[in-house]
Amino acid sequence: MKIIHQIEYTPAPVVGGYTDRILRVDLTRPEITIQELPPDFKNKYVGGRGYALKLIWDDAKRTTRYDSPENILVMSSGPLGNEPAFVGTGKFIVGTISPLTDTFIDSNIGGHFGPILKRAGFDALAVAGISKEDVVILVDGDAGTIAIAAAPEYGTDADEGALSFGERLLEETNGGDINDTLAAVTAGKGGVNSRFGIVNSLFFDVRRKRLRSKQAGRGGTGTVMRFKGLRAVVARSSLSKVNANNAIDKEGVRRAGAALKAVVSQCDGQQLHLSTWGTTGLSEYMDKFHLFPINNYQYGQSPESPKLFAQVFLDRYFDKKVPDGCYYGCNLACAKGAQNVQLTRGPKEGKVVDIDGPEYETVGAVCCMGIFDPQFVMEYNWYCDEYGLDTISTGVSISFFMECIQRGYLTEEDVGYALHFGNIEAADRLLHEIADGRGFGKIVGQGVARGKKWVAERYAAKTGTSQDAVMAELNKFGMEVKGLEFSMYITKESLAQQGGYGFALKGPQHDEAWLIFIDQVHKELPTLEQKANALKWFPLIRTWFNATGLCKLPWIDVRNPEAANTPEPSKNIPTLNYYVAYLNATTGSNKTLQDMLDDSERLSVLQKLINIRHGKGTRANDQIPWRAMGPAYFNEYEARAEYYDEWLQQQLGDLKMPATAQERHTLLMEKRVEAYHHLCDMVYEKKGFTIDGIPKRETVDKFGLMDEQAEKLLTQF
Amino acid sequence: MILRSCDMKASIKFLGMHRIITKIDRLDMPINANTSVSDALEYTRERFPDLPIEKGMVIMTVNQEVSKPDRILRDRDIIEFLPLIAGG
Repeated sequence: MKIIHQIEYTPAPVVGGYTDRILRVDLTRPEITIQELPPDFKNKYVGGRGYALKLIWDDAKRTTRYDSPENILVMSSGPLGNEPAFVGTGKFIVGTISPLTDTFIDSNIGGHFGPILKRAGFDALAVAGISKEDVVILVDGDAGTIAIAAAPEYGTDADEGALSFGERLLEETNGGDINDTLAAVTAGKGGVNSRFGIVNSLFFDVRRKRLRSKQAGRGGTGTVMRFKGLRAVVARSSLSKVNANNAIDKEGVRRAGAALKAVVSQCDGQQLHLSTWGTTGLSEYMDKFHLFPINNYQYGQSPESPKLFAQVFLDRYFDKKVPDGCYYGCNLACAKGAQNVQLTRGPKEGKVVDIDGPEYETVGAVCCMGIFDPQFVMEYNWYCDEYGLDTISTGVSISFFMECIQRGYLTEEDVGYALHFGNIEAADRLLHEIADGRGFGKIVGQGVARGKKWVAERYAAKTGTSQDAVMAELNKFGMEVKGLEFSMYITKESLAQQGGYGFALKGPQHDEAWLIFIDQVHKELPTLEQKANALKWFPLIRTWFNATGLCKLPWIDVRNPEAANTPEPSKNIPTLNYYVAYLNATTGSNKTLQDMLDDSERLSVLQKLINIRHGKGTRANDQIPWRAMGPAYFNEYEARAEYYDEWLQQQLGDLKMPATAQERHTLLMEKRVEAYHHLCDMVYEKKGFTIDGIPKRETVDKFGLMDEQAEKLLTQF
Repeated sequence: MILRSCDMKASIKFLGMHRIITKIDRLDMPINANTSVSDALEYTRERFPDLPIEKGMVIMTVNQEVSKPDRILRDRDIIEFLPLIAGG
């Protein structure tokens, strides 16, 4: 490989989960520097998302966009990633200014890269600048070198694929043989040609003896990576994985880990069976409760849905003999995969591939396009990973344009082919066009928010309708908030989850709050105040997981039997107590659960400030499409008219119901919009924000965030 | 548990892994005026002792609403056991 710039270094030892160093790379100069962190940095910003937020708060400015040289791409684990004695510790986050939302985005990702980067001496990698040529970064803790090298060329087939290129690069870096001392992150051509490119995390699975991949899917982090000219980062360290965090109290870590592993071992097989069929198990339950996002979230249920239930993937695709954890020590092991699947479509038709997935979200994205073919799910999954495309945003964007045709805002002539719900050939064709940046894919690859503007301009010009009027209609079913496409759950019947998506700082991704079952099925949040309290508490604890390098699933998707004896079982406090113990044993701190929540709230307020700086932080930016609040169109209302009429009658009490179905539909939507606004008021109050969704000065002060920039920002409101 | 044979019945529907374990979609159960959710649980346990439906591991619903064990069942009620889904 042609080395462009290289430095030598001595890896800092990990002590109590931290190295207190950030690796800084500027691709414009090019320059590599090692930033030593002051002791209070970790106390205030924790790690992971917190580190990314602080770096972007300091280095970016109001005008910074995804393609600005000063935009930083941050990859950071946290103090609790990198520990096989605990469960789910391979996570790291990728944070940056998003090409979709124009504000901070982060996406968490599993695999070995975060832990290896830490063992190679760094709590985080922060890449700024834009390279003139495509490059790779090589962090070699064994050799004590960090290099920027020209991206090698392996031929078109491999070079265009995020998975293929990563595999060849790892082979070359390691002398032809891949093992688990090294891992890579890569971005593919989908990141070059769309706004929702992903970062793949490639790691060697010693059980399967092959490379596997996980994805940081949301918000276009791969698009930023490719715009910087960065094709891949490889990290290597041969240091032992055992006690790799050099915990202050190793026995405490062992005890906490053993306790959680026992709960997972006892309960997963009686609950969600994640270790058997991964997250695909959710499809059946989502369909059961009208939450499966069929035809762009119009209908939550379909007679065809069973074709996409977990058993289908288990019987036809998943390897049932091998535990599928994405990091050592995780006995939840939900990262399911399939081997030797022959592609039947697309440019690689006939090729036999290994596929990591699908996750529930990918299955949901396919039913969002009205498609119920499991083979297509597998191929869509593989192509998106290889191209480096987010399966969620790709599916939701395609679905939006399908609905534009359904409702007459576009014609087949506009697209060039019959882009209808359920048309596999059309969806498949469009997927490849998005990756290549050609044909109609150039439009769809910009995402739903920009797609709405494109359709509105075109339709208004063609029909003489005002653009505002068209946009008002498109806003009803264009499933995005803040520029990010919704993840794969219908929220119509859960006010709490409408807030879970609307208030999510990054946009409507459920990793900040997933309250649908607690609200809609369990009925644990009957009052507005209870919903608002949940919309404060759950995002804070979930933020903590994203700051510490941990997977949330062992906590949130494996219910500790002891939780049934607590006042709020859904918080699963008995399991969270293991996490408190693990934190304190690793870092030597003496924190309580409330301390952890306070740490998270600091990060949450900082993220809110960044959103305000980038024009995405007010009440207006938390508004959600009608489709997310209820049956936006009459056909949706008709599909469940009896249910909706009953709901409306409950709201009206003794008042008379409107006579016609159309009137009832209209009134129902008015009630839904009204309820969401009440929720906004209550949630902002709980969070210490103004009625316009801006943090009050005392809230910013409370968390020590009132620096000069925050002061200046808040004076505008 | 002894249930008098009568015309009323409720159905226990099996979802997800429960369907794989029981190898059936639904189990019909005769009910009378006093049959409760708890009886349905016992009825299911007798027929499928390996089915993981312990307290704290699943929630019970009747007609898609979370239900307490002492709820009295009505004719054609649908009982389901759901895992505690809380979102990934």
